[in-house]
Amino acid sequence: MTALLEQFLSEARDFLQGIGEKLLELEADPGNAELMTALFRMVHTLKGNSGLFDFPEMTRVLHAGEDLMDRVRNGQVQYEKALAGRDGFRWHALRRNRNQRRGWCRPRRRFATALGVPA
Amino acid sequence: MRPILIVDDAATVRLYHRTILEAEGYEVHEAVNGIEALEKCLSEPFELYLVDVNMPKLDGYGFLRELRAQDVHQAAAIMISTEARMNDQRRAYAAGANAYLVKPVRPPQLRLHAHLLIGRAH
Repeated sequence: MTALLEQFLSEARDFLQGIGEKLLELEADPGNAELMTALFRMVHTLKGNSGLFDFPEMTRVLHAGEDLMDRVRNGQVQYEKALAGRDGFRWHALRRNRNQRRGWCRPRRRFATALGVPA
Repeated sequence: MRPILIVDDAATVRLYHRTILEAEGYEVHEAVNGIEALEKCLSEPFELYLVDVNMPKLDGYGFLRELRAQDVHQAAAIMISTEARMNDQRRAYAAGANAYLVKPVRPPQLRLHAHLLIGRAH
C-alpha cells in the first residue's frame, strides 16, 4: 500500500468518526449553524480526498450528502431526525465500504502512473 | 532549491501535491490554513504558493489578500478549488492568484503550472 493511500485511509477513518459524532450532536441541536458548518467541511474534504482515488461510489455518496447539507445550511431544507437517520445510514455504509476497500483499493490509474506507484 | 508552500487543511491533498512536486526537485513546505501560511511567509521567501480555497481560520482568498497587501517580493500563487465556476475564478484572481486549478489536479497540470510560474513575481 502506498504512503498516499495509507494517509487517505487514516484521514478517512478520522473524518468518518467525526462525521458520525457531528450527526449525533446535530440530532440534539438541529439549529446549530456552527455544527452544520463543521460537518459540511468534513464531508467536503473527505469528498475531495476520495476524488484522488478510484472510489466513485464513495465520492457519489459524499457528494449527495454534501448537497443535502448545503441545502440545510441555506435554509432550503430543515434538519430533522429523519434526515440524520438517512445520513447516519449512509455514513455507516461508507465506513463499511472503506473497510472493505483497505485490502485491494488503488489510486486512479492515470494518477498512479504519473506518481510512479502501482495502479 | 526552489521552495514552494502548499496551503491546504487536508493532509492527503498536501501529500499528493508534495509527491508530485518533490519528484520534480522542488523543496516543499506546508501550512494547514491561511494563518499558518502567513506566519511562514514572514520568515521564508517562497517562490510559489499552492493555495486551497476552503480552510478554517483563514481561507485561500483571505490568505492571498493579506499576502498581496504586504510590501515584499510577491511570488506567484496557484489557487486550487473543487469548484470550476467563473465567479470563483474571478474571485481568486481578484484576491491575487496567478492561476486557478480544479481538484483533483492532474500531475501533468501541476508540473506544468509550477514550471511556468516558479520564481515569477505576482
